[in-house]
Amino acid sequence: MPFLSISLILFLIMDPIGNVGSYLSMVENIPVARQRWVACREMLIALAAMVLFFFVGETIFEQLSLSEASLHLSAGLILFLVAIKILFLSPTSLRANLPKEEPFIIPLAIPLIAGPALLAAIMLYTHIIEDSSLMLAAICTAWIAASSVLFFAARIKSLLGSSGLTACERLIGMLLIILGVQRFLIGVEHFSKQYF
Amino acid sequence: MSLIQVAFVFFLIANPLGNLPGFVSLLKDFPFQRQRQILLREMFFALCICLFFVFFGDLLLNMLMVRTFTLTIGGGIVLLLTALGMIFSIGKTETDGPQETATLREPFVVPIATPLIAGGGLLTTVMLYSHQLPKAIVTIALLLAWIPVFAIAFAAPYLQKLLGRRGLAATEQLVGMLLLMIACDLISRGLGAFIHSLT
Repeated sequence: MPFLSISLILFLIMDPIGNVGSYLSMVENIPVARQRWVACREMLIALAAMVLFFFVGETIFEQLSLSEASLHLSAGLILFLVAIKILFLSPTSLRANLPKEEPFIIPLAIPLIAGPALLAAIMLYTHIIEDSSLMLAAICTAWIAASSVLFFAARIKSLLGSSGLTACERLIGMLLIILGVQRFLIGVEHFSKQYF
Repeated sequence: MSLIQVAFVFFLIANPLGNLPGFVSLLKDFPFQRQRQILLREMFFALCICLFFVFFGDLLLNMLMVRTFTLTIGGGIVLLLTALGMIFSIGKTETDGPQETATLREPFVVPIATPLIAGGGLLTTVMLYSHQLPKAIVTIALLLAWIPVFAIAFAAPYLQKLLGRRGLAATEQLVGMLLLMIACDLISRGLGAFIHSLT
């Protein structure tokens, strides 16, 4: 699997553009200098979670004695359901009821950026890809891209406007659904190969 | 294939006439002028998505390692969920105030622009033609096909006046069922291609 593909997929799953709106509504009462610090801290926490799963993912995989098919199926399913939540915003979902205070770990770092879908994807790719340094580099690239989006969140919002932002969020949601379905189908393919 | 033929194929697959009742049902809670604005905006988004796929469709799908049948299945599932919402939403519209539902449920990109207009079928066709023909021709064909699409979007709100409030509520159920059938058709066709790719 090429390096750029993995980085792009991880970047899309982090959904930084979809999170711009959530992030800005959470930090709107905080002074600007403090906002920068919050963004840095939350992104570092998210990175820590990602790197943690990069290292322990394989151990979890072996300890639970999962098959590769089930890893694909579950990663696809989680991503699919998360994407459904983005597209069909329900009044009970997290994005509709964001807390109006400074985010610490929850809900920005986890689960908005490093959510279960991302961690499952990292576990999956770490398992598939032989070259683990390549994987780590892909995680870092995606993380740097996502961090810069969050860092310039206010500027991106004024550039795109809030409806442009919604349009991007929906399009990315659609891409995530397709990615989830693709993962799931690969899982089915692996599953069927075990029996036929 | 001539330019007009390609444009006609795009128009048929985009199927704005068949989707007309769907648009009207999805937008029934909005004022007349607003409906027209929303529809024209959504058609514009759909056109942008199609043009993007003419030039970068292959690149994007390769980068994400997505097969074309996945586009069809994913679009089908989103359409299925929309249709279910339309069929089973009677209780919801009665309890919620009309203003609250209007702000919460304004269709933006999903589901009108994609997957109803620029769905898996159209995007796959666009990519197919951009392999066979020069990209400039495909672009012009798309723009040509969008002239009647815009015209239909412009006229769609009149259909609502014709049907009336009760007529619309009844149409929504019927259209929900039709959308559900389209969705099942898309999913089964995508799954068919997937199974075909396994063997």
